[in-house]
Amino acid sequence: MAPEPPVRDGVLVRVEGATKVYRRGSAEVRALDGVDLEVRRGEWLAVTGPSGSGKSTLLHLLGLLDRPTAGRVLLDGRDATALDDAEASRLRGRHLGFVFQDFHLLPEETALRNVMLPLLYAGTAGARERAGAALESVGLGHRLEHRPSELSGGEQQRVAIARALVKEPLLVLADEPTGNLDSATGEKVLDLLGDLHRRGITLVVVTHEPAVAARAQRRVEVRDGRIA
Amino acid sequence: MSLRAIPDLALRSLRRRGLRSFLTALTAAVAVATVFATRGLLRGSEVALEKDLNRLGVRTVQVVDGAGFLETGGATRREPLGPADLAAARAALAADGVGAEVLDGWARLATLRSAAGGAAIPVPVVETGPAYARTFESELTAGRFLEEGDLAPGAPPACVLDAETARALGGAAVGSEAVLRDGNGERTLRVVGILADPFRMRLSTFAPDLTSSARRAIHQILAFRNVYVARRPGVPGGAMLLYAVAAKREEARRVHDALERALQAKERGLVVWSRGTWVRTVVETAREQIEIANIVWAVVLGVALVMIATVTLVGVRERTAEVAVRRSQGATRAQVVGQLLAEGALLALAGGLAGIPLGLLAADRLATLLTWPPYHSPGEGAFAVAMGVIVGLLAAALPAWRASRWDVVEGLRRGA
Repeated sequence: MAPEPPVRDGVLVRVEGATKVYRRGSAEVRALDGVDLEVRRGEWLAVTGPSGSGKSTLLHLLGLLDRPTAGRVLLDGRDATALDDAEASRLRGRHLGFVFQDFHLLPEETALRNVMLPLLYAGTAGARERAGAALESVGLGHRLEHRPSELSGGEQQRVAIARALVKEPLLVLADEPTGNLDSATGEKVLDLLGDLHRRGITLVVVTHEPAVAARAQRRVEVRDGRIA
Repeated sequence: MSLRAIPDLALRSLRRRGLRSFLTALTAAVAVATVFATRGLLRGSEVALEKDLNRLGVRTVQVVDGAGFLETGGATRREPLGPADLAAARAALAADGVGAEVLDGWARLATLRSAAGGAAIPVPVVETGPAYARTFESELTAGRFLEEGDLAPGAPPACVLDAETARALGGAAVGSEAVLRDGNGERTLRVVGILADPFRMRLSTFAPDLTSSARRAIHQILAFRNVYVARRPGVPGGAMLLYAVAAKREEARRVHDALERALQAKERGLVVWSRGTWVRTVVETAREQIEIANIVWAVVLGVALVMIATVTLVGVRERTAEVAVRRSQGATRAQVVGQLLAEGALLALAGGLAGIPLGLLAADRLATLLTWPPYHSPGEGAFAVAMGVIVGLLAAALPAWRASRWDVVEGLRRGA
């Protein structure tokens, strides 16, 4: 697919009029309502808002985990909403990293195998070595063969960060990355995210914690499915 | 998209679900064992049946006085078979350049009882000589066939029984005596040999559609309730039978045609009857029965398919979060489908490979209850395993397709 030409220099992600409507039985829930948003390359953006405001839904759209009911998401100049499943999956696997509040590691796989996962799906050579190096970089070089249940919450989140960065992503999307961590461990995780940012990786962090949002360069607030 | 990682991912996933994987593989193993054992036994019966029937003498072409000749002794026929036909047959075959030995036998109905006592049983008696043994390839379980010495004037009357007749006489053995009663009176014969007849039970089992008259004809005419006695020149022997034994099996057809022409069989109502053709007919009839029996293993495969599909469906439902995590990390729908199909195929393959020795064991055990050995070949093994793998793939197909359509966000939410 040819890149969309009219993307402003430096913009990695552009959301245009994104609306997301869920149907729960006969009821309609408008999670997002005509959201416009730009995320610049290398930027650390915090998306804040109360629970149920639609900030996680926005993150899912940015991560191509979901599609908008209306509007579109341009990623690096490409209309991601027009991609078929295989193309979207490939893009997600190669260029987007995720850090979830609940870590979402495969519980029966080792830390190393969890980090290798996106590389295996992408068919990237040297997955084991790269995953090992990524875990080293987050200070878990000694925990490669441990399963998530054998790791602390902070360590699990560091594995998730290693999994996000191992693919050298364009964009890392973090959904309440410190939500399940004590404050000291949360600080360490934020430090790691800060390291990613210093390496030029674009970060979008969804949070309702002011301290986490304070680390970001820019902050947008979502209320009732709109950018406030 | 890379598919290279899929076998590795599938294997690891199966190892993690050890017990469930084992039980699924066990189901596949039982199914494959059933396929392998059933087909082995069915094929074994085919091979054994053909082998046994071949013993009846597939090179032999037989001429009789039409239907009912045993009962009438050919006497009611205007122009029954006679010694002149023997000469005519020899001359015709020689003229045609067909290599065949022509000989005669004389058949009639009689009763036989053990000299030691017991009830008399009706039997067809074939009066013949040592050459008759060449019209079939059956084996003797004991003793010998008729010899030249048995034909000599004053020789002690000898007979050869088939095993079924020997059993009917209360277990007559070589050296025992039996009393034969026919139109020529009653005489005591010494049993000098017992012919093997393993064929009868198999035929009854695997050719149930043969009519009772056909079965009776098979049993009566073709040896298995026969008593063979030495031909006595000058003594009325009943209806003449003419046998031509071709030098090669493939020449039997020419012998058949030459005899039909030479003896004017159609005009005289004679039955020229190739044992080889009959053998083929019986084997083909039996094969049809075997085809029906194939339903057994097909049904077992179907049951295994349903069972594995059910277990897989339930198992995959429990993996909603796992699938969502994989999808979030770049797995395409095709890769999800590929992994789950690979899991199904690998389990079925493992089960199938384990099913082969199980099938061998089962077939051997069953063979002891039946009367023929199973027939196994690498091709049959490969077929059974391939059936198992196909079942594994089919069973995984629907769960895999459904898993690939799951909503990723919903899956992540459930896994939280």
